[in-house]
Parts: sequence; C-alpha cells; structure tokens
Amino acid sequence: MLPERSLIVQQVDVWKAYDGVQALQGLNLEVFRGETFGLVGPNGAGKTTTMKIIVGLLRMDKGRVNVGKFDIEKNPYEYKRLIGYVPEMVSLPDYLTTGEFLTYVGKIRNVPVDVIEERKNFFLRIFDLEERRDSLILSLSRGMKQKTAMAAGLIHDPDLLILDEPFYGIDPAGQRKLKDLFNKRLLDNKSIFMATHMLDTAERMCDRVAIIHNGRKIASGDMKDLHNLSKTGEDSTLEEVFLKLTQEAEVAS
Amino acid sequence: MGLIFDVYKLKLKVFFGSLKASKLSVILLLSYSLAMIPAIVGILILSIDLIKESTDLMFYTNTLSAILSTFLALNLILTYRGTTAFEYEQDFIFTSHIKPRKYLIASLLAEGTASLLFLFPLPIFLAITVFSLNLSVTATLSIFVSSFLLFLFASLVRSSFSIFGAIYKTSMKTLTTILIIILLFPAASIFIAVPINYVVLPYPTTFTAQILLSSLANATSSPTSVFGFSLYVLASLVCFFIASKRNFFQFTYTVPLISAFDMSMRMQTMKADTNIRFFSKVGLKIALTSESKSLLTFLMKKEFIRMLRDGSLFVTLLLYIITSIMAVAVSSRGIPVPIWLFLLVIYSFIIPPMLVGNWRVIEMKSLWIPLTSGLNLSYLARSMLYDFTIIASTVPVAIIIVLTFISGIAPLIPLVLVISVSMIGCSANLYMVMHFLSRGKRATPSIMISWVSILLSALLLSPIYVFIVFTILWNFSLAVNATLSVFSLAYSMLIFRFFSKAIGRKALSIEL
Repeated sequence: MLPERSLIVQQVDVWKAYDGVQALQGLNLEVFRGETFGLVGPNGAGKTTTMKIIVGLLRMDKGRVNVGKFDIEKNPYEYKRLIGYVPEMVSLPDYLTTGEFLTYVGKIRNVPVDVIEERKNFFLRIFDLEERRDSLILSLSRGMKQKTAMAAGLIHDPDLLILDEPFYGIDPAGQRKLKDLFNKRLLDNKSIFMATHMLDTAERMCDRVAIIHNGRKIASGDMKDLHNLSKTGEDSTLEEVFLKLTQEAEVAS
Repeated sequence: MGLIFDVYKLKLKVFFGSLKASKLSVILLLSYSLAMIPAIVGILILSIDLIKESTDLMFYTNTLSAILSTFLALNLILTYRGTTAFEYEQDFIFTSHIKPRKYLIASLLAEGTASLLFLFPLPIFLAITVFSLNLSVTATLSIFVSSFLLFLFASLVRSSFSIFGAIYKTSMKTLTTILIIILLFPAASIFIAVPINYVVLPYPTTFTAQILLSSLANATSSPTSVFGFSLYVLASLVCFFIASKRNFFQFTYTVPLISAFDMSMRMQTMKADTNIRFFSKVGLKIALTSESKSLLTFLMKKEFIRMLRDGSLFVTLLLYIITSIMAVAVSSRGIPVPIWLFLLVIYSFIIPPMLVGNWRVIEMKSLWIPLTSGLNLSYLARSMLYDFTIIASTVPVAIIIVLTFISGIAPLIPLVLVISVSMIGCSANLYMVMHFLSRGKRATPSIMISWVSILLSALLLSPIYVFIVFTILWNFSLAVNATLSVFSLAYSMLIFRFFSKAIGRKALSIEL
C-alpha cells in the first residue's frame, strides 16, 4: 500500500473580484508534498491571482487557503517560511547589487548568516552570476534578474516553490539548470507549484496539472486523468487536451 | 521637407502626449503658469526701474553677459555625453531611411516649439518692457530677433558639439571643457577678482548683451556688436551644416523619455532609475553586508543605502547647505529668531514627504519581496520610520547647534520644533503612503497622496505650533518653556508610536 501523501497547499472555494469582475469563482486546488503541480489556463483565467492569494499579495473575498498546517488568513506570517515565490515579471530593488540583494532576502527570511553566504555562493555559481555579484541589479539583463529572483526564492530552502512563468526570459542553458535543480528538490519531498503558458514544459515537468478558465477549475489530475476527462485519446498532448477543454468551457459559459 | 515635418509632428505628439493623458499634468502646467507670471513681472519691473535710474551701462552689460555666458556654459555641459535619443527614436526613426540632417532639423524645430510653452511669459515680458521704456518698433524688433538668434545659436552649438563629441570623444571633451571654463569667466569675475576685462573680449554673449541693452535704452546698437554676433550665428550654422553630414545614429546614447508633464508612476520610476545610475557611483562604497546583529539594524542600514544610492540623501544635504547658509546669513544680521525658525520649519516640513515619496517610487515595485517573506512587517515599518526621522531631524538639529554657538540663540524651542516636525511628519507621511497602497487605493496619484499626508502632518503639528507661537508672543520663563517642551515631545512621541504600530498593521492590507 502506498503511503498517504500530505498536502502542502489546500485551496477551498476561493473567490476574488476586481472592480466587480470575478477573477476567481470558487476555485479548489490541492498541491501535495513532493510533486510538481502545474496551473494552466488562457490569459485572464486567474492563474496569477491564485498565486498572489497564496503568497499573501492579494486577499481573497471568500474561501480558505491552507499552506502546510497554517490557515493563511489566520496566520499571515508563519506559513510564509514554507514558501518561496518568483513572480512572472520580477521587479527587484535596482539600487542593490546581486550579492547584497541575496543577503537581504536571506536576512528577512531568517536564514543564519553563515548559511546565507554559503547558499548565496552556490546560487551565484549555478546561475552563472558570480561575475555580477557586485553589479547593481539595475544593470542586469532580464534573464539575469529572473535568475537572481529564483535564487532569492530558494535561499531559505522552502518546502514549496511558487513560480509564475518560471522560465520567462531565461536562456536554454539556464532553463536546463533550473529543471535539474527542481528535480533534486522533488527528491527531498519539496513541492513546486507553477503557472505557465508553456504547455509542453508543463506536460514534461508536472506530475499533475489543473486547467482553469474564467476563475473556475475545469479539469485537474495527471495526464491520464486529463486524457480521460477530455476524451482526446491516450496519445494526445497537453496542448490538445487544453484546447479541447477550454473551448468546451467557453461554449458552456 | 515632408519627412522633417512627419518627425517633427511625431516628436511633439510624444512630448505633449502625456499632457493630454493626464488632467493632473494640466493642473501642474496651470500652477506653473500662475506661479511664474507674478514672479517674472515683479523681477522685470524691478530690473527696468534699475536700468532707468542707472547711468552705468557697462555694469549691466557685464551682468547680463555673465548670465548669458553661464547659460551657454551649461548648454555645453549637456554635450559631454554625445548625441542622445529616446528609445522610440532609435527603434523607429533611426531604422528608417531618414538622413541625420533631416532628423536634426526636425528635432531642433520640435525643441523650439516645446520651449515656447515654457517661454510663454516672454510676450508679457516684452509688452511690459516696451511700454515701460517707451521703446520704438526697431528697438522692440531688435530685442526679439537677438533673443531668438541667441537661442538658435545655443541650439546649433549644442547639436553640433554633441555629434562631434560622440565621434571624437576625448579631443572634443578637452575642447568643450576649455570653452566651458572660458564661458564661466564672466560669472566668476562677479565673485572673484579676475585680472581680465572680459567685456572687451569677443564673447558672443557680450555682443548680445550690448545689443539688448542698447535696444532697451532706445539707442542704436554698435555695428561691432551686430557684426560680431552675426559672425557667431553664421559660424554655428556652418558648424551645424558640417556636423549634420555625419551619420551619428550609430553613436547615439539612449536616454529615458522623461516628459515634464508625465506624473505617472512609470515615469517616476524611470527618473528614479536615472538617479540610481548616477548616485550609485558614490553609494557603492558602502555595502550591505549580513553582519548586522539585529534585523532592525540591518533593515535600517538597507534603507540608508537606498537613500544614498537613489539620491535622497544628496538632496537632503543640498537643502541642508542652502538652509544653513540662509539661516546663518539671516541670524548674523540680527534678524529675530522667528524668521529663521520659519526657514527651519519649512526645511523640516519638506524633508519627510520627500523621503517617504522617494521610498514609495523606488520600493513599491519590489515590495512583494518583504510581503511574501514572512517578515513581520512592523520591523520594516520601524526601520523606515527610524531612518527617515533620524535623517530629517539630524540636519536641522545640527543647524541649531551651529547657530547656538554663532549667534548665541536659545536652542530649546527650535530643537523641540524640528524634532516634533520630523517625528510627526515622517510617521504621518509613511502611514498615509501605506494607506494608499491598500486595496482599491493604489491608483491614487502621488501628488494627491502628498497633499493628504502634508495636511495630516500639519493638523497633528498644530498643538506644537500653538505652543511655539505662545512662547514667542508671551516670552515664557525657562521653566515654563521646559515643561511645555517635555509635553510637546511626549505628544510627538505618542503620535510617532501610534503611527509606528499602525503602519505595521496597515502593511498587512497592502495588495500588489
């Protein structure tokens, strides 16, 4: 018998509106420890809103979100120790150098000083940023900024890494390194929750995927579950499944 | 000609676009206009009266020439970085079939048109001058034409030198520096004795000053001045003709598009980036390390480094120098305490909204980092508040201490005033900024936030002001003053503590 998997994120009946427009309409999601979970959907489906609610950048109108054992509404600080977050379009403090920025994140994440230095050196090395350690973030390219943000998201070794379009602006070699890093983390029972438009990446990397449309979940599960739900056949790709399910949802709405 | 006109129209549309997009920009422009007119009219009437009464035309020629010469020197400083262009120009204009000269002519025309907006008081200026001095039509025209030609001369020289500077970097920099020094001689000679009578030297600005002042005196300009000035304008045209032949597109340096009318957050962030590029050259000498023992100290150091690298600290120090000079000058002339106290209060009142406003512009985009980190936000709030208050109060406190020794003033009341203004000003401003970052309020324009914050600070400070006014009016004894000072400081501390806690709570409602 397989051991029961524990939840790292549980989102129940979450609602969120902006200026009267419903971005999320009773969304339910579950992410387990040790898995890579993908959130896919058309533009404006509510992917970024979902992630921002989990990381505490937006407040939900209704519903409940648990991260680990914490209810994020009742305990707005503690649960954040478990998460690392990298947004889609990263904005970093341009006036700090790459090294200073990682020190800053390490300090506010309560990482011991010697560990900060050790991890900083590690991430600067694997992301090819060593030479830019003393450069202002302002002078970095978009890809370098994304890598720096990724290092910041990982510096406290979180249980759950929440990534919005994780490969945005990163070169193929950098993407490869990231994927290797993610795979190592999964072996340590850490989880990755990513939102992406790159369906081929999601198909290859994610253990389970949720497809959302107009703030509602229209399907979720592993590829086998999605094939069954969409009736697109065993050989169909996530792209084909996605297109079929979103078109059906569009017609139904 | 068609292409020149197209580029000219595009450049104007881009420049004035933000004016159309924002009502706030229109208000800004109107405020600028209303503020400028009385000042210009006042200065003008004063100057005309002086000219009427004066017999020493040489003195005015010197002064005007020095002013114009400084203007030309500043104009040349702009050429140091070579030719500059906005990103949209590089992407869309430079990649088209337009020739450099046509682009340059369009740019000059657009620049001239845009300048007209800022020089709109000129017709009022001219009208007052003409009627006050009863000038003839010839003299009026002479003033108008020579002013226009000086402006053209400056623009052509700037364009040409920028192009040559971009191509022949080092040699042009040397030449430009020499010319700047020469052009600054007239201004320098006003303050220090220079053993050269530069008025007899063929400065373009001396010729212009002689023409302008002769016209003001309803006299005929000397042929030497007219000939000399014409030669300079002609030379600048030749220079422009040669420079504009060069393909400088590949040497241009991209600058952010900053419109005077754009008050958007995006534009403010771009301006902040430019400041960081400039100030971080010095600011990088102090580094943010992980050695700080407490998190609060670390966060305070980080905020201090930001202020060092984004120029906030520099502006504070600059204001400090200006205020110090004014305060020392005023107090040394025996002017009563309330007047220089007023200067200090203005200074103390300006600094908190400036520091908090800069924080908002620079940090808002990266606020997601502390907000998602699990950091107790009251640490963040306290670190900022302590830094702002220390910076805002240290400088005026230093001025007061200096004045205590120089002029023998009683330091108690001024110290209470500046410390209270810093504590209440910084905390109230930061609280309001946090308030406007919460749900549904983020779109509020910066200027509105500043107004509300300043109003709140002023209201909260009114008991302190009342105390100060009573102290000055009724000349309380030291014991009474000391007691009231303790109460004032306790009141300020209470407000500071209240906002310090409220900011931490408010930070939880921030939505990004």
